[in-house]
Amino acid sequence: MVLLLIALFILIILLEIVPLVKDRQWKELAVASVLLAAGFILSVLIMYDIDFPFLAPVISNIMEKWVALPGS
Amino acid sequence: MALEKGRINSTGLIMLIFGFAVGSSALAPSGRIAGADAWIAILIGIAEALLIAAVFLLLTKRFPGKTLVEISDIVYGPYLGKIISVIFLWYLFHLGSLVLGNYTGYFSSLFLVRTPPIVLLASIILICVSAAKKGIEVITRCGVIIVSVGLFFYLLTTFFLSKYFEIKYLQPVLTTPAPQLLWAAHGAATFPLAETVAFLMVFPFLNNKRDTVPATFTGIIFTGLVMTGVAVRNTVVLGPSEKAYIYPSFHAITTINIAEIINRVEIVASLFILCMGFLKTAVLLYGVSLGTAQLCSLRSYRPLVVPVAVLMSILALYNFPNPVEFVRFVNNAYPVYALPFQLVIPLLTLIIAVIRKTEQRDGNSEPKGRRPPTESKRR
Repeated sequence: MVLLLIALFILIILLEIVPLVKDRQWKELAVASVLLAAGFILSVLIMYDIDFPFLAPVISNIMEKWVALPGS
Repeated sequence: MALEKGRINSTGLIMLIFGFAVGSSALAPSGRIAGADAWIAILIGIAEALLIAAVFLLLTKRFPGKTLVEISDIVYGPYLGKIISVIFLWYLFHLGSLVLGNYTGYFSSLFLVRTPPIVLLASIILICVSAAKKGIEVITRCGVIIVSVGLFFYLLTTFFLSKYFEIKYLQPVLTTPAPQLLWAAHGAATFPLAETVAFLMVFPFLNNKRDTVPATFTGIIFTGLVMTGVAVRNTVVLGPSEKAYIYPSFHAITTINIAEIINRVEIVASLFILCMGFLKTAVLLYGVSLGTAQLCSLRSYRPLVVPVAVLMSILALYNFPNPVEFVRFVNNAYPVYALPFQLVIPLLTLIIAVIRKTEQRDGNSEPKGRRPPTESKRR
């Protein structure tokens, strides 16, 4: 799975990042690379079963704690 | 240099708003906590959504041809403006991931049970990436086709279901306590009608800027009425058991069986629902990419579409563990969570723009509040 993930990101780099280098769009290259790197790191962490908390229950708990909701 | 060269017309905008708003509400209908009074809650919700829309439409009227990211830059200045833009873009990003997660949950729990959710997610997001890269004009054209065919199919399924209608399920009317009814109405307003605030990233590309207000209002009212129709249909077909279903529209449509010939229509209905979801995700993906590009002063938003889509997909997997949690989130938390993004940010921006007398009536001219000092001296 990790190899598949690396292959996927190499494909994205070839299709998206390399044309930016060719066109000398350095600003675009920097922003896209940072976002893609964040995506890659998060994907690898997920692959290695690092447990991230689910976002919706966290928000629901906070809202239910703070506001007396008629629906809850 | 303009980041987007495409232009859309008012009919396209109405269709896009409809597809966008119906997108996820088709899966988790709004106003459900009001039970049989859901249709009344949605009608009240339309009024609230129109008020919310009036705020962001006033803002876009004050700054024609500008997205919220550009407006924030003008109104708040370069630093605070960027912070406000990031908060707004987070909402679009999170909403996109919620829609993606919702669709993945729908298909993996009802149809493709053995398929890993990541495969479904990747399939949906790939099409959205393709559409977002082509630009808003292409997304709108897709919207016109999808919404036209989808509406026809909606009318057809309602016609087929008419023989199962039990009007008694709608009675007695208004038994829901007022606070709960109003909460359901607020829920219907924030999900999905006022989510059209995302169109602050799309309005600048309308052919005729004067059509923005009527087209948006028409889109919201039209969507609200169709949602009311769906709520009535689900109630009169499923009765009180409707509340027990996570996807009541799906279960209502499964009852269609005309002479053992026309049945299993839910597969086709789900395909149309998926198409609406594609529209919503594509608009949000486009909005986030365009907004980020404007935030970082880039020459094109297209290089950002794939990285943003990757991050959106990852968040979609970590939004909620199961569809039940999604229903809890939509009913209890979302009406409060969404309000700062849908109402507070546009309202605050509008008030500050009015106080600072910052406006830009003509899309090509400089804002009044930022005239060069030499020009002010001449005056």
